[in-house]
Amino acid sequence: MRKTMLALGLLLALAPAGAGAISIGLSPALVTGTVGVAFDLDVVVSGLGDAVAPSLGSYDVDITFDPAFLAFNSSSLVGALGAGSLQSSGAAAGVLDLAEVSLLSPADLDALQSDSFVLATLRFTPIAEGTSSLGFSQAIAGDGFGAPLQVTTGGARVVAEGVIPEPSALLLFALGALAVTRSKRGRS
Amino acid sequence: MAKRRQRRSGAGLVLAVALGLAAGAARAAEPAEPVALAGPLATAEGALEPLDVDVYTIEVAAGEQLFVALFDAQDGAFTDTRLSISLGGAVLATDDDGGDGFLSRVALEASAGGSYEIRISGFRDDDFDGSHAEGAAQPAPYRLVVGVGAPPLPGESEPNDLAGDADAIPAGGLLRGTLGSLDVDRYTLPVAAGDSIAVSLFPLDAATGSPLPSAELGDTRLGLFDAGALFAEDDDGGPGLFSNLARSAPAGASQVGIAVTGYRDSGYQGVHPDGPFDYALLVARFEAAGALLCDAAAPFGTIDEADVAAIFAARNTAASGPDDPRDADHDGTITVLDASKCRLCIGSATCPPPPACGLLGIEPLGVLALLAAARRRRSRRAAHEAEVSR
Repeated sequence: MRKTMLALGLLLALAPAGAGAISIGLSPALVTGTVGVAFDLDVVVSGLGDAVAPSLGSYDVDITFDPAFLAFNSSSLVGALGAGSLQSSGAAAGVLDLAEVSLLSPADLDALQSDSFVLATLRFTPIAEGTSSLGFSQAIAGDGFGAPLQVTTGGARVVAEGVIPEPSALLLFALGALAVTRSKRGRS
Repeated sequence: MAKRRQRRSGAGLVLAVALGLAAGAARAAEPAEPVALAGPLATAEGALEPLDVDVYTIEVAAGEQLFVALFDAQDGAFTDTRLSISLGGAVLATDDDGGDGFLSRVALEASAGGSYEIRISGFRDDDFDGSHAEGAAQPAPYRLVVGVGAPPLPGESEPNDLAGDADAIPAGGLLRGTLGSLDVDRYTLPVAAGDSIAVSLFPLDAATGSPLPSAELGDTRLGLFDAGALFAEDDDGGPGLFSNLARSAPAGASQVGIAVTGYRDSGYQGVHPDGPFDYALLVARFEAAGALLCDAAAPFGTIDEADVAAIFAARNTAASGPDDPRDADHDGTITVLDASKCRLCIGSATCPPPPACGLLGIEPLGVLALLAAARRRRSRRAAHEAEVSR
């Protein structure tokens, strides 16, 4: 018992007060898309405690992309930091800024969050064929008390192929009408 | 107090040595200089002593306007200063008594971007080498207000002649107004108990909006009001015939009204023929000692969601100084972490730092467990020894 208490004490005492590194990355890491066809990327955080500290109380990330290759369509912050959180998102010159601060208490944040979850969903459209990368130029994250969390980041790669020519709706309609007409004539 | 001993030469050396001996060896500790300020509105407090020149820097982009004003920290106007602005070693502007009483003020439009250096010295120190006696008896405290704005500055919104129509002072503390005959321009600024405010008027070129070197074209009167009652005013505090003043807000005031009118209009009713002319209004709030950390936006006195939102909106910018209430972790930069720390104080009238979760990374719970185990071990050993001795 005494040894157990000592071991427990040592374990608790030597455990760092802060948390280890968390990860903020893009998912999926590889997107195979088509020029002109939008696709979604999730911004995912992982490495947090599962309903325990450390939880994520705030983040501010800048995601870089090549505007000659990708057109940014929209971002949707899913409110993972709780109702009423302060949010900001905006893109300019190939940099997408996402930031959010929770207004919940640290205990409520712990209870709300699992060890990994989606922060935001981003929508891009390839505008040119080829391969391009998305990465992070800034990643700040804080725990429930506003203390900084060490962050590792993971980007994504997008491979876009050319547009597959498709018959237009009007052409399809005309072909259908022609088929119906021929079928009627054949019956008569 | 930002002070630095400067190199001196020539005739100034004799005076400098004499003043240095007079001042004695006791001198307050000085921070590293130059002290970096950050716009759009920066404030600093310092004190002048003989032989010292205080140096500040601020980044200004080409085309932006820089307004610098000195105020007496004790609601007076007797500190006698000299002020210079330089870029890359070239002095661009200097001023002696442009401000309230003997204080200095100066404004310019930056023709080139860069780190502009602001030097503050005693009025005798023409060369800014420290040859002055200001603060010889005791350190002469001053307050520095620096505003940086890209033209066109935010404008006043007429009609604002009546207190009920007063314009709110923008967050950057700078705006452009036009005073015409029979016109009174009124503004309002939220304050907290113990705050003081500093207000300066600078003349602007009506055509270009640039600061004018001369202020003889317009003649203003400046009044500060608490709930409609005038509590401080200035006529020709300077530069030229323009006005400026700094005063403590009356006890219990939550808003201070600012009125700009012609110098003849002592009743602030618009009874004057002055104008039209353009001016820049620079307004800063100096918080009471021990100002509330995180209390970054009106209403002041209690930390609320508006404060957190203001900090969040200012993220990734430099703090205006060591006392910037938005920089909760005092690292010099406003980030989401500051907003996150401050959210823990919402609803509170005080904002202490977040409770420590451990000393040097050691959890208190662990330390307690270790202490309990050691105590239990000691008591068992004592019991065992007692049993053996029996």
